[in-house]
Amino acid sequence: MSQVIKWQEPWPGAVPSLEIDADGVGLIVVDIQGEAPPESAEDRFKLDQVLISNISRLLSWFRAHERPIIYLRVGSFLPDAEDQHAKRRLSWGRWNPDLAEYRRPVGSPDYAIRPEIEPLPGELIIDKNTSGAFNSSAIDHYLHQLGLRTLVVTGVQTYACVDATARDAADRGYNVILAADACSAGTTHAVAEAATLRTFARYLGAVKTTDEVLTDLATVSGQSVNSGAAAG
Amino acid sequence: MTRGKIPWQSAKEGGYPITQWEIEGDATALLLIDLQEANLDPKVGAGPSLWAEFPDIAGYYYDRLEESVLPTVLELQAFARLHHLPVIYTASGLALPDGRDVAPWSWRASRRRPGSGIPCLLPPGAPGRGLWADLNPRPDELLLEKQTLSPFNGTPLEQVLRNMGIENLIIGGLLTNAAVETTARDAGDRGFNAMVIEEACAALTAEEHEATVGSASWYVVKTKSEVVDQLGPLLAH
Repeated sequence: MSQVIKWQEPWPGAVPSLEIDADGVGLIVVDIQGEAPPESAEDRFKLDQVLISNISRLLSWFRAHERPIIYLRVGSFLPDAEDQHAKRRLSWGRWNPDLAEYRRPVGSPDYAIRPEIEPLPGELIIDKNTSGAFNSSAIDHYLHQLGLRTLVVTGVQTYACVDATARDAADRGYNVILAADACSAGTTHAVAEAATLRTFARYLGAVKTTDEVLTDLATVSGQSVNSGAAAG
Repeated sequence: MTRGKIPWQSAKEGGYPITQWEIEGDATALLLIDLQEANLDPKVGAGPSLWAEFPDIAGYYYDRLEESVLPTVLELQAFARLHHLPVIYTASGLALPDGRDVAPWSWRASRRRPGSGIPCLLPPGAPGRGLWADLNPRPDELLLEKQTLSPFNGTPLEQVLRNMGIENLIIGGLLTNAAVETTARDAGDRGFNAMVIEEACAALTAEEHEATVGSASWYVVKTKSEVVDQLGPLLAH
């Protein structure tokens, strides 16, 4: 089954609507780990109340409809982080000035995905040591084998790992919907976040709210709007 | 001895505190993105329909090319050639005449849609598909054809750079927040030292261009003078 949904706003070369195949839809959750503390109370509220809540609603739909969910985790593959490029290795120091090099190897305490949206058995987890998943993992292989053509992308940080992953996914041919209110960046990065959403909507894919994504998902799958939430 | 530190990020950029970075000067290449006639000449490619449908954008874009991008690109190319740094060009276009080779969603495929006059990606052999004539690419300079924004997604660029021993990229071309930014993000994320030259790029609006300049992620933005002054002393030739 496939249905046409609204895609992009008018812009040179924009695609106003796009046909989506219900069988090829998957959800990607980028880097919702127990990472650095948010920079303000406002950021904390956004992360805990808005972001986790919206991702949970999407998770419910994908689980209820037995569609693939893929979690990404960022960190280092080796304890000494020598597998990361040098600037990334050094940059983590901004979250802990006592450490010249902040390391978050696989298995370290804050490497785990946040418990509120913990993956269920059978849901794929892909580790990466770069911002973009396509730059350091076999994600393209998995997406292809899962038969996915359309990806709903959520997570943090909007302007960094989300942008890099969603851009490369779109560039490699996937239909990508960025769920803007299921993505987040700290308030100090509001300008960069706005730039990501604007550029993505014009040149790479669709930018929608979680409500709009759920409506689109109901449309393409021939379900009523509330069926996913009720089942979840 | 061509190794040395150059200024990297300023603290106000806030992303991470790397103010200086040590590089190998001679391990630098110039990467020029999609400087094809169809993207530069208002009379071919997307030009006529851009003028007809989005005149404000066309006005800004073609002025920016003439006043900033094209002269800067020629200066960067001369600098690279003078110092024996490799110059690599990318060009975007359809591989098949009917465009089946690009993603269905793609704005680059919009030429197939009835009602849209913007031919964003040209078929093989179309007028304007070739590189800007003034670049005069030499036989020892590489041209990579792509159907993607980033050559890391659709060409052997990374393998070629590793084989050539390239660690640093000076990047210019079109459009700032689309192919240039996607390329620079991928380059930086893969560990290359990626430097986008501000005057050598254009977006369709000043707002978009400035946004890319102000929110660089794993790449840095420099002016042409900065990169020439900073790299010059580190070059053996």
